[in-house]
Amino acid sequence: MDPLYNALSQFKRRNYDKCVAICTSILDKQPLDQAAWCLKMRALTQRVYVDDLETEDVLDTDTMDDNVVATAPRPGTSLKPNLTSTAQTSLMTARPRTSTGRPISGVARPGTQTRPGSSIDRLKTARPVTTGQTARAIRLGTAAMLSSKDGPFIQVSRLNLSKYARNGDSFGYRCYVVENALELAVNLSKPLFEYLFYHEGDVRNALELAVQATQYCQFNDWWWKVQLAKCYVSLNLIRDAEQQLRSALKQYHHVETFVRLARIYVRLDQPLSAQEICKAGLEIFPNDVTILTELARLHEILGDMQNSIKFYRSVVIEDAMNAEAIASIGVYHFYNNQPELALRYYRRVLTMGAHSGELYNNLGLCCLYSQQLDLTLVCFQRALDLATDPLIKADVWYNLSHVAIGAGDLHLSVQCLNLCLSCDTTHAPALNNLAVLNHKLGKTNLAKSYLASAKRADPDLVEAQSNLEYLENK
Amino acid sequence: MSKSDLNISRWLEAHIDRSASLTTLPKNLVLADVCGDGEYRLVLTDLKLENNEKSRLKVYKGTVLTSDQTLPDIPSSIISFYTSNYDSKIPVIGVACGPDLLIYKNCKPYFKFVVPPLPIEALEHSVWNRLSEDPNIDLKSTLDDLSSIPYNSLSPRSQKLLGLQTPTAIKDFISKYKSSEPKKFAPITCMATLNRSTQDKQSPACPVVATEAGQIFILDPQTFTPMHEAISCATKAIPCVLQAAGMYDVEFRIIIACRSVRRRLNSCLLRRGGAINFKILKRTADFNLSDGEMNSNPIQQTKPLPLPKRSKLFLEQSLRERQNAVDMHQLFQKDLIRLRLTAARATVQMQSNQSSIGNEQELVKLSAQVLGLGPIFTLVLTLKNMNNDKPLCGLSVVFHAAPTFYQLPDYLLEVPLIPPHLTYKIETKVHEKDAVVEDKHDSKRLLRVFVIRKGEAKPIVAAAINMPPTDLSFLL
Repeated sequence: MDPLYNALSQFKRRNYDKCVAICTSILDKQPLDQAAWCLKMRALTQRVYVDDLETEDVLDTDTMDDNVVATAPRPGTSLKPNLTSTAQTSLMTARPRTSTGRPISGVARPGTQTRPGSSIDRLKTARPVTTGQTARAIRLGTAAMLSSKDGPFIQVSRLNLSKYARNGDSFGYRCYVVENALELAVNLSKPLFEYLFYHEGDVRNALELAVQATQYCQFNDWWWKVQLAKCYVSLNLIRDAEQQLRSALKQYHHVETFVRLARIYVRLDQPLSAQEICKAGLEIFPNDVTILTELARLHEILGDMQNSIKFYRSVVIEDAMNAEAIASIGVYHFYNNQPELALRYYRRVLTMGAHSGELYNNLGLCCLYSQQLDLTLVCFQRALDLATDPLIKADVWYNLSHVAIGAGDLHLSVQCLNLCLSCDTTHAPALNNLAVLNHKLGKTNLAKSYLASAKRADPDLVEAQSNLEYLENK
Repeated sequence: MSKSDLNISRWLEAHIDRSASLTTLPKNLVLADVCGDGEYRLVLTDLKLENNEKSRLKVYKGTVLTSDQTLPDIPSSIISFYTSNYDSKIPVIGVACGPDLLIYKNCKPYFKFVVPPLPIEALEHSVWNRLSEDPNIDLKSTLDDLSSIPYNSLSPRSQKLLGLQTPTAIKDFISKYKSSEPKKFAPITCMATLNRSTQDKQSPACPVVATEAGQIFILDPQTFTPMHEAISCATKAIPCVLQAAGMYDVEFRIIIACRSVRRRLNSCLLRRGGAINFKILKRTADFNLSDGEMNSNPIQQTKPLPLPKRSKLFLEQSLRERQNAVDMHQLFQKDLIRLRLTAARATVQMQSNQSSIGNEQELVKLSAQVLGLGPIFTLVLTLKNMNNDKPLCGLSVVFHAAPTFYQLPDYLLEVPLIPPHLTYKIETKVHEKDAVVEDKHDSKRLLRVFVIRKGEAKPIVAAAINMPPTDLSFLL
């Protein structure tokens, strides 16, 4: 069999490692084989590829951000969490918030579920916040570099991205390819860019390649503009990225471009503009799941749950297996005092094959509040068994303390809360509840101390604050 | 304070007699020491509005009816007051029946005060004069004279005369009544008491009587003669609630609510449907609303929660609950026992790991914080004394780390005395020896802290701190 054909077949079957091995052997024999070189690049890229649309890490508190438009935005027009506007607080009363002030969402996504112990603690240890390359890209790059034994596939630092790179060394094919990359833009420059961006995590060189490529095709290729925007975003040049995406949209309508542009506006803390972009996208791609999901998320962050659920429902109509939408609708029903409906949605997620501590925890809570007591503790037990993350474990113990209070066993409840705190020492609601229980048991001083800790763990926790005031005034 | 603020649990149910069949009105109910033995009795009037039944004055001692007397008319209000400083301290009961104030002492009729009659229209007076003097008077013209007077300002006698139809009845009526002067009385509508010279509970008090004509009389408590008379209001308004404050001899003020300003009166009716219900106020009952009670709820909670729509699913689930109630309960209890076991196991595990944050018995709390990027970290330990009165003394802190990995300036630190409610902070530098080594085993990154007391083998509090790896990306 032709080794290249075999490699292609392996690539299609997603056996990227095998594909890479075959390509390497071809290249050993024929160092200038463009096809093998391209395939190897693509295989290496695919092996580490992450959907950067879904995993974009948005930093919550970016003190050095100079793109901020308004420091005191009008209510409902900003994603900044700690707004004390009455409109937002009244909308938010039903649903608890994460420690970063965002409303709890149905699924864990980067930037939604940050809790103490994760990014906040990272900020507390006085480490500077990276604003250049995303941390994820760096990590992936180093991992890939370490995995190959005999040096990197392409030495990026020695790549000559301009037309007339002429230094000859052992990787002779490299210069040749790069020279032609710009001429044969469709063939090789795109895989090379992806390789640089995803596999190497080298945004600067990728950007340079993209700049030259877009110049070469006389700014007529929308794809390069989107890639440029990607580079600009990871270099935190948000306005440049916006320009590129807008220009790309003029040439060609693509869902990804719409969503990326919406993300730009989220980065700029202009959620209403982001919504407009999404709505424009929906007019061109009616009922597109990605855009609908984006819109639903935007409404969710703004606290407009009704509209958020409306979009999530549209998503479910289009894609009945969309776990995010189903889980979000479940959360909505749970905090809307209809745990029996939430239970149905979570059971749907369960039958779809999800099997996690979080899911069983939610199922347990739904069972508890819809009075299906015989199933409650079974679910929580599973959640405890499945939870590996101590934060999730802490939450399960916290919920179990509520079951214990409901069953009238205060001692057990205190025990559960202590276990919760042993998993997550900064669980502010647990500290607050422990204080209330201790106050009930007559240990007022202990209660005060716990309340003080709760306040320290989460200064925005209203309950701890008012309980402390109550005890002080007594 | 509205009535709803009084929690029902403040009352003990003492006695309910649903067959007492009592009907009464507000202001027809007093608690008074009517026998002078220091035991207060419930005095009330039982209204009977039917013609063949008389209203009654009833006295309850405890839950037993001790006295029951008929009243000549429908009572409007009752009061109790002391008459003088000198005689035995027995209050009298005043019952207003029509224009009469009936005074009872020792549950026996004692005195009767009649409201002075109202002036009679001159024309009516002359009509009755003519009727008594001239037996052959022209009846028709005299009656026409009488009916020219507004009906409301006539005396009851004239009103009745005008209502008679047959000439014989009219003649009989006239011959029966012509010898006496017609009189017009305004019935008493409400009463109150006003202390005479001191505010003592048992000092003499003047009854204050208001009539339907708007007259107010303040009576002498001993002679029951009017000491002071006033007209409530220039307009024709009928007093219906009376409240007196102050002292007659010094200064007083009477507040009158008239029936045309208020429409509804039944604010403190104690019995409905004729049942009598005795309640005892608990001695420990607290009627003060503390500030905390009023303001403890955050503003968000004062808004009532919207009730969600009950879905079909909810009904199905509640049906399941009803059908399998016993099984569900038993399963839940079984699971609860299992949860207790799990929690106990986890607690033991936690204690053997020494990862707990505090010591409940010793009331010591330990928290740790790691600062820095490495390879030199600053470890901040906070020890808090949660004791109420006892200071903490004789404690020391021991650090335990893999010596190949971390180096500390001191591994044993003495903790000075920590007074109650105060915290003590310890700062120490942790030096990571070999920053470059990538170690897969996180156990080496563990730094243990023990707080020990001298002479005890078991540490009081222990903490395990996961040291963060040195972030190389910031060094390069």
